[in-house]
Amino acid sequence: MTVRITNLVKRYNELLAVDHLTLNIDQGEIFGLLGPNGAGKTSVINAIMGLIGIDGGEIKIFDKSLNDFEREIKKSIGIVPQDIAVFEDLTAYENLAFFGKLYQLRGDLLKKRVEEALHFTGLWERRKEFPKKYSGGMKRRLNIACALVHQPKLIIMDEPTVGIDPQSRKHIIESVKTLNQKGSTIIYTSHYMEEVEELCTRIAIMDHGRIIALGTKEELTSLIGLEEKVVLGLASVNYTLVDKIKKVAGVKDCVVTDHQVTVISERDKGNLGRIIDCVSDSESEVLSIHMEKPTLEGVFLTLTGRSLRD
Amino acid sequence: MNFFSIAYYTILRNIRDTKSLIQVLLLPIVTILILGTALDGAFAPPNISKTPVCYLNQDSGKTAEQFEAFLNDVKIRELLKLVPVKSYEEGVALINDRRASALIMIPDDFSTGLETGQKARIHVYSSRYGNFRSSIVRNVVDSFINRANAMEAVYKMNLEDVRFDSAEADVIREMPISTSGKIPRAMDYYAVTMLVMIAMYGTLYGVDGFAEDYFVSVGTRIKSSPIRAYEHYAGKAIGVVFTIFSQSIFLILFSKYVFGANWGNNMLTILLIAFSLSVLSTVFGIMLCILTWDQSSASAIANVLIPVFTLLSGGYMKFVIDNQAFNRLRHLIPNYLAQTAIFNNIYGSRTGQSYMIVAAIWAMTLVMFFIAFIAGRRRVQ
Repeated sequence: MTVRITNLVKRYNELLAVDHLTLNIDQGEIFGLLGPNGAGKTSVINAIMGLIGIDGGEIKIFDKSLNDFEREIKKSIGIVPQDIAVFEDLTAYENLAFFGKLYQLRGDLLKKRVEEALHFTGLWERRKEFPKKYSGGMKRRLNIACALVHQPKLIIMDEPTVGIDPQSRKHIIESVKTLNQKGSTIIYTSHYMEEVEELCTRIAIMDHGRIIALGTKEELTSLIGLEEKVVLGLASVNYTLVDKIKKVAGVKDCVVTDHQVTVISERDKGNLGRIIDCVSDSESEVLSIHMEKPTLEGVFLTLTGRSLRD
Repeated sequence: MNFFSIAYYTILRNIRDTKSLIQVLLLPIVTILILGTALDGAFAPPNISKTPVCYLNQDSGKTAEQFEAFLNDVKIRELLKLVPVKSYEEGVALINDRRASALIMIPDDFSTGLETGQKARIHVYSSRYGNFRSSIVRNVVDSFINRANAMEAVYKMNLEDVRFDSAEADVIREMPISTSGKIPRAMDYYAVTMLVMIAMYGTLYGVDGFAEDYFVSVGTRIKSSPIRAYEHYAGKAIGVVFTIFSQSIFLILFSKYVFGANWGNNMLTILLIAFSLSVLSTVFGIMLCILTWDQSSASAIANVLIPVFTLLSGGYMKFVIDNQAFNRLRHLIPNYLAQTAIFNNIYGSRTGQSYMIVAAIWAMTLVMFFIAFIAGRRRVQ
């Protein structure tokens, strides 16, 4: 077991950020941690990194208590923070050398590891440049390279693909897969559901400091497999309409985004006609109707009541 | 050895920050050049005008006549401007109006007293505001009294061959005095005050160094590494102190060899003061950052406080304020303490006093460190 969290509690004054959370992550997993903003993901990650004190519970990493073996455990963890964490006034090579030294790498071994990390992220040719000259995608790759220089067994990636071009995203996704194939365990958080679906072997959905769903993608989608999702494109939307749709028999939830109404309903209730009637009654016009199969996004929406990008 | 890695990279990054570096070094160099040249006259030793002194002679005896002749000696008149008065009250009034620095009064029994072997006095009344000028008057009167005593001794010993001629007496001897190297010229003065100012501006390096660890994500990465907290902070502090100290040394050498500023003969003590101030400004920056818990606010406060400290310490313009409370308050300003220590060392040769001030700077640093430490613990909790 790479990570074993038991009854973790973290409070910020009156706010209970993590509420008796228990979680196990196996070696070799790419573990997705999802949750809306304020769900407690960052607190869990910070607790695993030993960056914050905890108010209860226990964290074991590589079968050792984080409390007792923090320095030793940290030697085998790499962090890719959401915000780019590199020195703008050091070259890419110097950045990696600096962070490598923090992990006791010296001499030829340091040079070798720096070179490997830069080759891995495709930055070797531009190693002598300062990050301020890099594109957003290159900075993200350097951010990852800094976490890999000491070849950690556990890598925590917090939104590693935010705000980058598709080409860089693809490169990063492929890198994550390669790292995993090489034996690293990865904890991955993202707002991009398709990334999580593509990468993660297991996924935990957090809300209000607790894990509300945990399993493989298939296991999670089966949670809402008894539901239907209908997306209606409308000429105009008003909130009276949402209230009316929610009152239709079998409708479990109704969410409005722009000119779209997403309705989650119990399967085989035969209520689509009644929903369209509601639209007609509200003097709106139906532009499109789309029936969706259960997805991770749907699971998230169903369980948390919020879209992941809210 | 993470300690050295952190210090090395901190120094490297500070050196590469050419914009700040130029600002930190160019500002004092230009200020020294401009103020040192423009205000050179203001730092030249002043000319001493004649001291106005009231003179009241109530005695018509021979000795009083001799004293009056003495006062009218050409050399004495180069020093004193005699204002004859008719009464004690008139003299005192002139002193109170600050139109005279002293009143010399010869009582009516002065000559008789001397002749009969009794005590005879020349009274000197001086203004409480003119100590320096009063001392000139007293010295002139003392010179006459010494001569009179000598004459009396000669008379009592019946040494008829000994002659005493007031006109020949060399009571004032002209001795050339050079102020060179004894009081600061404008260039010397501003070299010191600007050194102190840039060392204090090092506070901003302290703010940035600390803020990076707490308010910027790179700090998260560092703290998630297996480095010990003390290695991290000590390495960073050493890097910042080294940066500020190097800048101080550069300014000392530049002002000495390019502007010819006088830094005295005890350079080690000057370096000790500059080093102490570098440590103080680093800790001051950290303290500001912890107390405000915001890099912008801490930088803004430092950017306001340091010019104010420099101004109140006379860093831009030398001034004296006759206010006890203000002068006491000035002793709490690091700039003032450091400037005093350096000036004492260069011009007063009072190295002991300089070391006392260095101890005060370190005490101040410790106080700031403990404030930062306590506030930091509360913040992190």
